[in-house]
Amino acid sequence: MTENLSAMQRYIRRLGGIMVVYATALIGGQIAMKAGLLPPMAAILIALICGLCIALTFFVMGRLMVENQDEFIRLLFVRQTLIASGFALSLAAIHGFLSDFDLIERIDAYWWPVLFFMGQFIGQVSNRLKYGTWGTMK
Amino acid sequence: MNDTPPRAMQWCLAAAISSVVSAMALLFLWKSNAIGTTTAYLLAIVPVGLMIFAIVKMFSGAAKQGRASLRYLARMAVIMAFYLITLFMAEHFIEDRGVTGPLAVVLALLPGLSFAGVIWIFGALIVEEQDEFYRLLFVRQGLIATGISFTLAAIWGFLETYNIVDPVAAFWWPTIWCVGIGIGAVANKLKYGTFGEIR
Repeated sequence: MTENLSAMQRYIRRLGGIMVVYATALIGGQIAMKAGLLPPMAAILIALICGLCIALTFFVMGRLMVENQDEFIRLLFVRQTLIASGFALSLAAIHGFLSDFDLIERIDAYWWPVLFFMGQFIGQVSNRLKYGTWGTMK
Repeated sequence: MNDTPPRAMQWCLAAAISSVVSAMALLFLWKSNAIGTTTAYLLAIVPVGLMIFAIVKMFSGAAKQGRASLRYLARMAVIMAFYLITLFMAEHFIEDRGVTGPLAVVLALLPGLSFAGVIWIFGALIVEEQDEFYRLLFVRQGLIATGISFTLAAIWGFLETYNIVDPVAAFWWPTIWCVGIGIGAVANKLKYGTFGEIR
């Protein structure tokens, strides 16, 4: 039980650190861009920092799956992640063809990871309906 | 132990794979202007007929027989054939004939839905696989593929925001996910000594 809590605590701590860097880079970049103080190289750097923060979030989620010792909670977390993947990738596939035939506008690619994170909630609802628990919110 | 798949599944798999191959050949011939649109529509009877045969076989019991990995292959072949046929129709009617409005939306939705189906068919493989070790490998592949595709989407998205790269059609992210399934299989081979997906 202690190991589970510490795995979750490590997850929250790691995620918190990443989110601080992400928010700082994102807000700082937006302010600098609107003020016209962002040279192209700095823009690339900030875009890469923001993108890599999302990448690290996936890594941290993977670490939680590996480090969590409770097999049932791990099952729920994996299940909700796979459901979230299916949800976001399905929307991306449908949106891709609609935009390719000029029926709707293209959107920035970071919305797909955002939809993936929203899909995590759908996965949790599915876990609650099938197994009676929300899973990682334990 | 007899590993030969049941006859209904063999027919289903053969028809589904033949349907994909003939649809790809047809699309290639049409795109390269080797055949005209009328000929393409006539020849489309072959992949459509094979696809319908595979679907009928699937619904008449083949879908419940054989190993989960064979059912996965048959479903994947059917959905890919459906994808190619609907893509051909959408390109012809929307781009060549200028169809617009709700009909164009329906035509564009069909290849999108069939591509989305690829992901859920992989999910069905995870659910139906009875061997826990293989299920672990499939789950691992899926998670690795998800990490790769959404990581690249996030990086690309922020580069778009700062006008460093151009926006791309969103179907590239599930396409990269499919490549990620292959990378996940290599990761499985390195860690567990087997690729996982096909056995």
